[in-house]
Amino acid sequence: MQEVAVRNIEIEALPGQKLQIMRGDTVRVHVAFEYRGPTMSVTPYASIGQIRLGVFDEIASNVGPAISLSQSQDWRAYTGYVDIDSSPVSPGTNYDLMAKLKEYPGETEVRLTDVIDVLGAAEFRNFEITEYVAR
Amino acid sequence: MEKELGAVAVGAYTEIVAIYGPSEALAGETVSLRVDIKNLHTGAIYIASLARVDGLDLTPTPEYATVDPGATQSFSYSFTMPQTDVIFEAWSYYWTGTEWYQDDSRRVSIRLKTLAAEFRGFEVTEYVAR
Repeated sequence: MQEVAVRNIEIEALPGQKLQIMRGDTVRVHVAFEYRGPTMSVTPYASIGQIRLGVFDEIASNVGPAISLSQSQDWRAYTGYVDIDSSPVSPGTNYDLMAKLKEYPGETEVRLTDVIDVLGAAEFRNFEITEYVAR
Repeated sequence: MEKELGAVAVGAYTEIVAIYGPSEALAGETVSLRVDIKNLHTGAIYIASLARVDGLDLTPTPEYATVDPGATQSFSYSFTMPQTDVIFEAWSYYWTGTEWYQDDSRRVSIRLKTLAAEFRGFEVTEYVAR
């Protein structure tokens, strides 16, 4: 029997679209922004969680590789990413996503609501014998 | 006696009539200045200029020139702005026939320009399960 090898599969979602993941998957969050100012380095940060009463309750989070910003008086575009291990997130639906620059949370924090569903491992319940019949 | 910044000091045969350039610059930025020197003598003379900024001697373009009486010659300078405010001091010289005689000087200050960090349009562009 022929085996099919599949690797590097990515399931992508754009802002507002729902992403279904298995618990334990890594979610890579891509961010983009514009910057002008002195030379510095910033750290992207992202989290999967739930917004409760306006507060983002973080469940799984991480920082991404530092982004080097060049001195400029004009706006320049930058991108970055953060990989989040979803293992701490219980199976469930409608998780929220938050991203920001760690050093400038007030200027950069963004939230996306109800964008991630987490599926658990294969689970069964209520297995039962419903009847037995002589034939 | 120390002259005040920007004060005009008239020399015997030459006068630095103006220094044109930015009053502030970013660290690492190339700062360009122009020093205008007037011939006060009754005949044409050789005029030269030198300058110093942050302990560094600067040579202009051109290094010297023949200047007619009453005429003004421009000398161009450039340097890299350091991480501090600086004073640009320029001198004028004329050729006596045997040596360059230092005649006039003028200073200007150039402030270090600082930029505030600004962000806009921060967004999540996509999220990917891997």
